[in-house]
Amino acid sequence: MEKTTEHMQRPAERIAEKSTNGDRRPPRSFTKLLWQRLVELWIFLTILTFFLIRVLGSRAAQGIFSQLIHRHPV
Amino acid sequence: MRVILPILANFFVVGAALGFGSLFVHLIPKAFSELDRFVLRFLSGFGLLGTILFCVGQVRFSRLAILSVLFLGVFIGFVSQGRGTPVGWPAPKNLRGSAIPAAIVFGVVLLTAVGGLAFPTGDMNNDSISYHYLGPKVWLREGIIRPVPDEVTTYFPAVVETQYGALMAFGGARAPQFFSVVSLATILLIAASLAIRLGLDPSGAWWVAALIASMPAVYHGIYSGFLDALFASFLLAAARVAFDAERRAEYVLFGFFCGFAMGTKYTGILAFPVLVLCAILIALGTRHRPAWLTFKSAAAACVAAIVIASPFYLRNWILYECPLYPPPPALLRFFPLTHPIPNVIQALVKEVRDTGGGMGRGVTAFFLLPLNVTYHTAVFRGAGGIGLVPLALGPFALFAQRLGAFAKGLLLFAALESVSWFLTAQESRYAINIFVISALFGVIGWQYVAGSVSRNARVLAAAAVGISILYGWWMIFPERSEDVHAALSSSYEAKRWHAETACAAGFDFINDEPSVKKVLILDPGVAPFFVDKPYVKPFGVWGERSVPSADTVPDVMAQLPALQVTHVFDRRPKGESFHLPDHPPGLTLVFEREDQRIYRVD
Repeated sequence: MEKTTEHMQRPAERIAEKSTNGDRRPPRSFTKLLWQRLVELWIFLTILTFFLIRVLGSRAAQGIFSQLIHRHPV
Repeated sequence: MRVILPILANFFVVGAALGFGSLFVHLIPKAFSELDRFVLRFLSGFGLLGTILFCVGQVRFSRLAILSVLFLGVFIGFVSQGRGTPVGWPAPKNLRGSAIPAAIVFGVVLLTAVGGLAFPTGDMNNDSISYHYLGPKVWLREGIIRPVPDEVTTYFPAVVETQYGALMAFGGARAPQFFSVVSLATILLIAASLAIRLGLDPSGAWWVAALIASMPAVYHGIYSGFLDALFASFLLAAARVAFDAERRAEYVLFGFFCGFAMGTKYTGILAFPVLVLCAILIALGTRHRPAWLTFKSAAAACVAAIVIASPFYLRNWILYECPLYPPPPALLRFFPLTHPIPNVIQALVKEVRDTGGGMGRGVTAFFLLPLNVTYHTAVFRGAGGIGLVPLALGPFALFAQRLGAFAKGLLLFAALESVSWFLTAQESRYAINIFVISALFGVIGWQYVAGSVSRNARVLAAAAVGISILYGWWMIFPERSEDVHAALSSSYEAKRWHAETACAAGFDFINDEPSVKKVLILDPGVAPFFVDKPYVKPFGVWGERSVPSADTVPDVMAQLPALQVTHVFDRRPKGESFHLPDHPPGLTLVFEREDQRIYRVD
């Protein structure tokens, strides 16, 4: 039952609750949350870079861009 | 018939390889799975078949000799089958969750099979046309395995090329093309074997196979005669056995795989000490037994490797004065040549330097490799790279589990191989074994992210896998579309033959005209692989000189009667003139195109 309640709390609430218990070490849930965000950020950045370099930077995309520029000259 | 014979020839060679492989079954550790045993059996048999064909071919490389060797392999297979060591076919079990990756693998295999039935086209810039296929074709015509004097790369070790010769003997020029299916299956099976050993479930192993099949840099080393995937398979098989080896027999099997790798490519010589070092370190770190026993076992592996690779190097040493021919400049001090070939060595060294330093040579460039092989693939002839998974998810494999000795061994092997690759020739095809390991750890990292991080991370990881596979297909499918079209349409194949093969019309004339018995090819850029009749090519692309004391075209023409040719094939390179003047004395023009002329010798 206790577990269920903890699960229903928001991560931020859980962090707040644990950070007031006087423990000087970073709370486990905080490091876990940080780790989750880092993992997400890493994967997101690799995908974004891939999209920018391999997709938008590809010859096909360059061709499409140059066609667009020729159609709508600035 | 144009597609049946190549397929049957491949079945014959694979059957013989499995037969020879049964000789190694008792060396495979008993704890290995059915999948491990099957792939190790095939690879060991394949390596042995190539080595036997090479040894037999030093005396006779006729269809009868090849047929005898192949039948011997099949016979051994039947005998071992009767004695209770059946060919264990790794039947796919528990396909739940594997349907999508299995469909991806099936799609690539189908593409490879259909595209592999197209007749080879190309020019001297294509390694297969210039030597992987040329050597076997000339050996079959001459009835003996000897390097082709106008192509110095045919002196290289030839475990795979000898089997291309066997395939060509019974299936024609399409048969080694179709062999790409076997190459693909082999690398996927050894990758799956490693995946299961690393603790992945069957679904994970299928995903590893799907990612590898969709890696353009790996796929590029699989088809059109390239043997890099098979070379990588030998290395990975060696690692599979070495990192779990305990008995001396298992170390000997490990050594055999190293030997087959050295018999496939010279770069096997660099990978061999790396593998031995990793095997020793793992054994010392994890096995509770005296160090001297480990060193003794490693010595047994070294002896086995050297013995199995020795035919290729001894042949060169005995006949051409240096085990590695053409010799790297450093070896010339120990193996001085009676007939030096300085221009050829210089040209090859220059080629390696020009094409092999794509990523730079500094420390920073080395540590940027993971980024560059993912994003900037063009600088090392990356053919589209390795996808996103190794970089996006691979690092998390380190958090997935407490890495066992086997995983640590694979990581160490990949790291040392990366250093070796970085310092020598940075061509993407040469790093296929590293790419396979990166895919393995990519999937382990994916399982970790999907199972224990967050929902967002799970979605992002799935997106990374999806993008990798879709991007790989985007690179691979258009690249093979012409091969598939040519395999399905004879008229398109004929059109492509003329469009993609330099001097196609001239080759047609030489091959179809009965009066042509032997032809002199004057231009180094003409690919003699397409000539079905005996030929003399005095000047090779690397500066080879195959006619003694003839360094120029007039020198060659002065020796024309001694060469006993019936026709002379002249070609005009782009922006230059023909090698022979108009109306050369003693020759009659019998065929002419804008850039080709063929003369009859009067």
